[in-house]
Amino acid sequence: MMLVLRVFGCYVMVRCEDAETHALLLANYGHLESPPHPGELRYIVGSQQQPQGDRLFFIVRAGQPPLRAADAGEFLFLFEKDMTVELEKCRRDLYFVHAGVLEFRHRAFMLIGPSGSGKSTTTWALLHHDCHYLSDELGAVDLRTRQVLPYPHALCLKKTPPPSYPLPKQTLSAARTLHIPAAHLPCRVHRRAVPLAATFFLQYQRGASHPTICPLSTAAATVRLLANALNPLAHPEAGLDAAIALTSGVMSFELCSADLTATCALIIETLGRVVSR
Amino acid sequence: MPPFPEGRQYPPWPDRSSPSRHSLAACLKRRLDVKSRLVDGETVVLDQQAGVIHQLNATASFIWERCDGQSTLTDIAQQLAHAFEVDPHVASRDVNAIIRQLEALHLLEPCTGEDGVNGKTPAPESRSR
Repeated sequence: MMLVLRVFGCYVMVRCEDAETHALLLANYGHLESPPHPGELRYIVGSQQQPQGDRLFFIVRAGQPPLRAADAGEFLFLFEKDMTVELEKCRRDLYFVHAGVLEFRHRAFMLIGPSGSGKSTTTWALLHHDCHYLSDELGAVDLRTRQVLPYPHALCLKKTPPPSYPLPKQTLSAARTLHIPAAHLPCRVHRRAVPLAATFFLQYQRGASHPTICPLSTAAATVRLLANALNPLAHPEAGLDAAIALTSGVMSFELCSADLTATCALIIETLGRVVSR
Repeated sequence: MPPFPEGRQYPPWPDRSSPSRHSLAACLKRRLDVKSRLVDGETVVLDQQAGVIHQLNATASFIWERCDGQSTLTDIAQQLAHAFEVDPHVASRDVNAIIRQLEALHLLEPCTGEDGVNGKTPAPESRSR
């Protein structure tokens, strides 16, 4: 079974050796499926049921030693990691940031922060508040146009969100992660690039009574953006000038999150002001 | 893992508790391999060797820009006092504190013979002429 994905204009051809692995990838990357194409990137993936009941997965990229995964969650993690690193090599012109990306009133905004800062959970919640989906975990910015390219793979959560933001029944539950297919998100899913208007740098403060937000200077935003950039060294001057160019043209905020609903309300209120400027 | 861990805002406030080990006649220069950009009055400093990014506030940026291997700390303090309209003693104290922190971050290096006069730090008198 073949699965061809088109991501950031690059084609990824995946030969799936079994139906389960194909279904897993289709659930995660269905929105990126493309008509047949030889592909710039080629993978062979598959899984095998073990006598003890576990299913072991493998990933082979042309010319590379195979990657092995002990469960579906690890398989998706390894596949995603390998593919996105290769895509970053294919599209060195893009500026990749560790971010969730959403659209609000025809403008994109990024939720930026390290792992565990609450990007995906906040992204999931915002999709219930008139925001629409572009990407989770990976923000790809075209520096010429200052637009963010869509990467609508399944939204991945590390834990069950609060009851006010329930998961759809189609959510795939892996050993350590929950994957919500883009087709089952409660919003529109973008397939085209959207102009970037704002960046939010997330900080999670355990026990905070209410969320707070404060505008950042261009220098402060640049420092934070560089710290969360994934391919700065692909750009001249170690990505410094590109980061400044990016932050100079958008509004940036530091967001200390608290209660999820209150955090979303604060972001929406802030975005309202950003897009009406 | 992003290649650069996030730097800290520097300096949050000048540490005036201990003086710089340099005399006011000393001159220092920015490390050549460190990239820096002035953005709206603040400076972003990227130290790839250490893998750290720093943000300098307006005062630190003013001092950083003048760490050119030519200006003495006295020169910088005088310019700071004039530009920010502060007491010269306060300016000297701030320059010392900030220089000390920039050095602690290994962002500065001493002048060599190519920078100063015969490898020695020029005296403030000669610099002021």
